Amino acid sequence: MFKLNHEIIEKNVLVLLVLTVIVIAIGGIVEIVPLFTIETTVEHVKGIRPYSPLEMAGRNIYVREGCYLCHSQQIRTLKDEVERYGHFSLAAESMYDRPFQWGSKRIGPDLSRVGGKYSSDWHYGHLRHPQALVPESLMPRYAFLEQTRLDYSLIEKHLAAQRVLGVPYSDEDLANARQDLLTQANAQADQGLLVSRYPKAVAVPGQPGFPSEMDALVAYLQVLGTMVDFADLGVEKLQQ
Amino acid sequence: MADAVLASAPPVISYNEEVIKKFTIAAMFWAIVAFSVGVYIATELCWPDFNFGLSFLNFGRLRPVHTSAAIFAFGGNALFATSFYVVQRTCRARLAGPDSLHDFLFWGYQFFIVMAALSYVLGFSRSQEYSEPEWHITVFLVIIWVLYAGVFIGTLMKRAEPHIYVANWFYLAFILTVAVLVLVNNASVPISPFAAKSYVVYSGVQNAMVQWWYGHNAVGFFLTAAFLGMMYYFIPKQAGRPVYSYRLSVVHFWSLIFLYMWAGPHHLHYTSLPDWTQTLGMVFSIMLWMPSWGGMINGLMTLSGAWDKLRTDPALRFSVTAVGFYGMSTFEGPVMAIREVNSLSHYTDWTIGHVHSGALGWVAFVSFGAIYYMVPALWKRSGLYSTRLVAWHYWIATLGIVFYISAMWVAGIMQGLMWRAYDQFGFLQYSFAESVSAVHPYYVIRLCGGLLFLTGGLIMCYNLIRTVRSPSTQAGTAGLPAGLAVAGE
Amino acid sequence: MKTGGTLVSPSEVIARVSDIVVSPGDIVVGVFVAALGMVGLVMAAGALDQEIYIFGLSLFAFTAAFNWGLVLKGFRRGEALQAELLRARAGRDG
Repeated sequence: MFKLNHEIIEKNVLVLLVLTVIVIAIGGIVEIVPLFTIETTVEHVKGIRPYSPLEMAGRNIYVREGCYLCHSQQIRTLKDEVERYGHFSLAAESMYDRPFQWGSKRIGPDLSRVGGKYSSDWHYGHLRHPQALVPESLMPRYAFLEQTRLDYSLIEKHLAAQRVLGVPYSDEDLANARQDLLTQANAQADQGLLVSRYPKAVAVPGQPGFPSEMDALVAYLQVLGTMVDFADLGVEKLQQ
Repeated sequence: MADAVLASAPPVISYNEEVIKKFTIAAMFWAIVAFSVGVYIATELCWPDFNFGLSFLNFGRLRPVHTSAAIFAFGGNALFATSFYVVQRTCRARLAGPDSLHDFLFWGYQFFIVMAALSYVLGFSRSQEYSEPEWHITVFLVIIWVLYAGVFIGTLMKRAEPHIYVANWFYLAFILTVAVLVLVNNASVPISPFAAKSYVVYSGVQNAMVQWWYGHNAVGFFLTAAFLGMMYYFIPKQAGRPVYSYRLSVVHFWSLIFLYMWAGPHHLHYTSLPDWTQTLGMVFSIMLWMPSWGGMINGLMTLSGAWDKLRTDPALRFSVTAVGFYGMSTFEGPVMAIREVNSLSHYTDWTIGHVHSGALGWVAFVSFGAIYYMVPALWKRSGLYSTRLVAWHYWIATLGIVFYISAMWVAGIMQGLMWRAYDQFGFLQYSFAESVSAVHPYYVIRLCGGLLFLTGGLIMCYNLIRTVRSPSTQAGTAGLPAGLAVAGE
Repeated sequence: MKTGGTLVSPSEVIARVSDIVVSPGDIVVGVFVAALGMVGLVMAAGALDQEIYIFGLSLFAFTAAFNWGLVLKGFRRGEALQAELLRARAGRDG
């Protein structure tokens, strides 16, 4: 009897096709859809903001160079990990990350909370020649980033595309994108307006008016993990 | 002459074998590319000076070249070749659609591969694993895929055989599921139709879930279900035995394709993915062990009554060993999916070891077995040029796999233990950098394993080229070459 | 149809008239591929980065080469058919 039932499927392409599509769709629907509908999936914490234009440009360099292949950006809820890297990562902290860069391999350390741990000068030196600062490092040299001028001609398009997807960039943010980028890449400039739009943004010592790709990347690295004030948080706020 | 053709009696089914030949050659070409790039990036991990400070040669840009070449170029071409070989023969129908469409599928797929690899090297990547090509290349892939589905399904629809053979259920599930996976995971907004940059619709934790729903099922369907389809045709053919159990194939097919789709969250244990999702992923991953071993049992037990063929047919050895590695990997996977085990293994080289036992032991080996069978048949040769070379390939490649995975097991567990070690004062014992230098010897062993595997691949290419060209393998009679006969020795 | 006293089959007429042998499917494929090529050119023309420029031009080159091969195959088939029919007629007359 069992055999007869399956024959109906085996003798009919359309039945086989439709049944297959139904069967394979179920798992994904059950696991993915509730992550959008369950309100506590992304914790309600204060401080998370969209990336500034320079940080965004730096993030895109991080993404295109495949940094996530060696560096994770997700601290797990494990004692030794929290001790080594800081508070475990919250879903809220990557809520504007497109794409997420949690990573799946650590050939280098986790970077979720690298922001503020090292001086910008250290980052420049490390990116130029990692082994000069960490002899055991397997990281490639990224000096070419310093020699490459940052192309920010499309920066408004980057912010606009993300706004379409729900990232809260204001009209003001878009209008000032270029200026904000140049300001943040020039440590000597007055950062007041920038920081009012993007709290905790770190200015980097780039050549005024001519930011390099390395400037952008360092600005991005320096903000990682710094947005949320954990002293402020009770456990109830972190329940998913 | 034309009249003579018109007057001939029963219609002989002519299969489109030209396109299969092309895909087979491409599969071997990309296999060597994939293995070579793998060897190179392994070298970079041993001695980072091999990055030379060059953007287009560094690990970050080359790794996706290696993974795409292994999965989509080598694996993909092998699947196109075998799915077209199997579907025509088991349906007793020529491939649906005009031959020019099949040619477009072939050349278009190679174009996709080349463009994807070039884009990574130029610094354009979505940086989502096995889903790196930017939107413009993915659109092209979708076009190819829709046409592939059309040709495959069209051939099933015009079959002369009333039952759809089991291998085709697996190939069909693979084609349909990959379409769903690629479309959902790649939903994004390009910043401009003239720029190779897009932002994915999902962010953060939702992006992570969709990505690993995709990533795990790229493995589950592209690298597992599809190759099970390959196994279900070529093992019975090579062994000269029917599939062990029809009922088992039905049960394990439906449970496999159902359960696999839930396993994604085991890539995200202890992360900011909610606990309920992690638990679901873990439980279903453990359940997945059953249908996976169902497939393994069905494949291995097909040899029942024909085990002696393993002594005389080295190509069959590849297929059967592949099933053994499949069983091993599909046991290791569920074990690694257990939260507590994963707390040690995640982010370590144990994951890499697991990937390669599956990729080299299962995927590559079952492909080698199928290709060794197909080449003499497709090129109408009396047999392979040298079965001795097949045996050499087998042992060198197997040794390579053993070196690779053992090195990665040791490195991975070592990393995991070092990261969580406390000294007698209650402080973390090792710096991260210390764990990096500790695994260096194992990275060198892994490189040796990869070199052996590449060597095996080159031996295979040589053997196949001689098979096609050597006068010693010319078909003597009109009988079909069995692929088992020894020639050129 | 009669020509000079010898019976000529419809296929011989076609072979004499048409040097190229293509199926309707081939034409659909050729047109579709050509359209893809045009898309490539448009992309390359408006490219805002190096990748789209290279991809667009490569797509155009690929589709041009593919259609060139498609047409060439059609002519080869035509040549083969004509040669075969000539041989058949010689065999019948001789």
